[in-house]
Amino acid sequence: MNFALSEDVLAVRDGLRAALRANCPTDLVREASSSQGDERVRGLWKLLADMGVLGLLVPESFGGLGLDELFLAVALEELGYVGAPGPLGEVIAIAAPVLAQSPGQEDLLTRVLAGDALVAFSLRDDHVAYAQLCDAFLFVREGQVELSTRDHVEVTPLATVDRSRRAGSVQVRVASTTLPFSRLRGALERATLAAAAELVGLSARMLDMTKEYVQARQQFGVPIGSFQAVKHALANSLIKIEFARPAIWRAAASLSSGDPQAAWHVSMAKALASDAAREVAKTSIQCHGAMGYTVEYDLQLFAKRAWARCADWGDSEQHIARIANWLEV
Amino acid sequence: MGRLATMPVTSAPKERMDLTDTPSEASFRSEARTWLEQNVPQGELPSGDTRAGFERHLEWEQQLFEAKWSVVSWPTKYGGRDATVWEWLIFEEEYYRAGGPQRVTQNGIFLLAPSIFAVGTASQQDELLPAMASGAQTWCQGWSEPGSGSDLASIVSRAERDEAGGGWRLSGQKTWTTRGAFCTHLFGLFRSDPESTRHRGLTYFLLPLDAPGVSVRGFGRLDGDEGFADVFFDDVFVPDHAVLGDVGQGWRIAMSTTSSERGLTLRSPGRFSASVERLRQFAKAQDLALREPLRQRLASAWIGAEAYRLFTLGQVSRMIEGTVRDAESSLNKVFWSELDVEIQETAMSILGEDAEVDGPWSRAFMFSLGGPIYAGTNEIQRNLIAERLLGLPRS
Repeated sequence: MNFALSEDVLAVRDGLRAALRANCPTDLVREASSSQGDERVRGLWKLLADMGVLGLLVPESFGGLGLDELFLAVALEELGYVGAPGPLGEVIAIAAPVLAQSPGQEDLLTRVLAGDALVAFSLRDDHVAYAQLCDAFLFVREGQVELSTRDHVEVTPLATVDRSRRAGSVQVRVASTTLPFSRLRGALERATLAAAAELVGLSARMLDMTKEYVQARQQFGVPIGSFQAVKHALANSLIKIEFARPAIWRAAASLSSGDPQAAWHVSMAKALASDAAREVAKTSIQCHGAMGYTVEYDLQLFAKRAWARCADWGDSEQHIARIANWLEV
Repeated sequence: MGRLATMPVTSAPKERMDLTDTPSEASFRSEARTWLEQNVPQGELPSGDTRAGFERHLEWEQQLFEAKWSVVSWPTKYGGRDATVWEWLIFEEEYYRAGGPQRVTQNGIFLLAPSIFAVGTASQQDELLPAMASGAQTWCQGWSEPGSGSDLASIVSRAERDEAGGGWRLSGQKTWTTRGAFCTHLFGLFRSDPESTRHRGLTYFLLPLDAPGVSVRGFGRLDGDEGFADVFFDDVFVPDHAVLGDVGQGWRIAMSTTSSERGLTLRSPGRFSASVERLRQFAKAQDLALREPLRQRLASAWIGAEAYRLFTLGQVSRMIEGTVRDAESSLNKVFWSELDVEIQETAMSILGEDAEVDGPWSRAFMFSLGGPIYAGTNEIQRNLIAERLLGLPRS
């Protein structure tokens, strides 16, 4: 038995961490809330493309890195930590690999891997995250993946709590293309895993911000982090994160090895990660006091992203219900 | 920024993440499973926290010892198998899967023995460890006092120097001593420097409970069994060789024991995996269809047991690498103790009106409520997590 990340995975994680912390500051995330930030967002996507992140799961013969889900998990945790905007989980985990397995989509795949085309992948069309930014749309309809390009759809903006999500309702105006892709089930599990990993990154960021804040903020002449009520709340947040992360790694390893129980493992990971993120967001806002209840302070960027990602690809309750069914109780 | 996959890998590649048994782990598992299936007593033994039940459990401990399953991770010369941590985890998983009885020798094996291995003299090791492994000597923990629970460093039981006798004289009282009324020996902390305060000036003593001047009074725990005891020391003489480690170093030695107590060795994941699986089998036989919240709670408890197992697997890998963080065991302790309460509360809800019937489920429920208290309350653990893992200032 061995349950540690390999040196290769750690090297990728560390390389990406350094690049993201240098290139995805919170003002970029803030600016991503309107079209004025598009250029910076696309600049970040170009950087990720240059690093190979967008093609992490795409076979090398198609211009990707040909890596597995463990790399996906650590990459998405790092992307979550900095709040990187755009449909990163969906592109890396599902859209790019699906396009790579769909003959005839070589041009779009090339543009996706170059960071020139952002693609949405969604089960529904009336609420699509980042629709306002996307150049192409992949919708699941009746078990098939349908592709529409931006010029064939009409996007009605949908105001969201996390303004950087740039969501929209998408109406397809011209008949879409059905992709010859059949392994949808595993692909959806991968997208779920990506969201779970991103949530752990978001949670870790919120906890880091909060632990710094409670050491700096003084009330009654002492740092508020010296009060047990605050300590215990943050200890609970750390426990949530520490016990969600290994479940994500295991789900990733199971997807990578084709474990027949991989879907269970993904559901456990998403349930734990969504639960952790919800709890950490709430605790972080509370421990920041009124500061946490403002838009000027950066914490809200991560909390709002976390709320949205908690629900993406099934919230904690949905995955717990899935487990309950599997347990046959 | 370069392509990720071409980044230099500085050290030797580790093996791939793999949660399956290696061939030798698989054969260890199969040997353990076979033996346990053939030997675990049929039906529930009487509670090990009663005198009669304790005796019956000791027979089982003797049987485990003779087959070399009582202390698998110990060296073979003390009755163990030199098992790796992975193998120890496998044994625990199989033990609880097979429905193995409560381990009444646990406090010696898991709390005291690590300290004897770390700082005991050769003769202490040779004399005490085999007798502990076989259950010939049973050890209880003498740390808490009426005025010293969470604030353990405030203990006042004294050890006074007896130069003429070549030893020490103990006086004071220990309490909430688990199975103190049935055990043969006690390991405890006593204040050996009368001028000292707090954690300085404490010494770690090992003594038989039949020493002149020791008196023991058993009393009922929450479930009514005589699982607790007060232990009184009235000028009890103990020789110098009854000191574990150096005089005045008791706190440091005890703390290295508590980290094993809180963490993995006290509650391995196999126990909760088995517990939640038993609950699942029980629930399957009930009609929960109309009680959707119970299905959800059971599934949550199941996820919790898996999360604990996965966390500990990562922790064991970090132990092997030498990268486990100080105070990490506090994460285990809070998690497993609250998970156990969650599992048992779910069982009580599924049982409904039958939950009040005195039996294995109601007893497991009451026992679970001790988890957040013993081995350092969860309030203390959360302080440790905040201060040592998150770096928050001490209160």
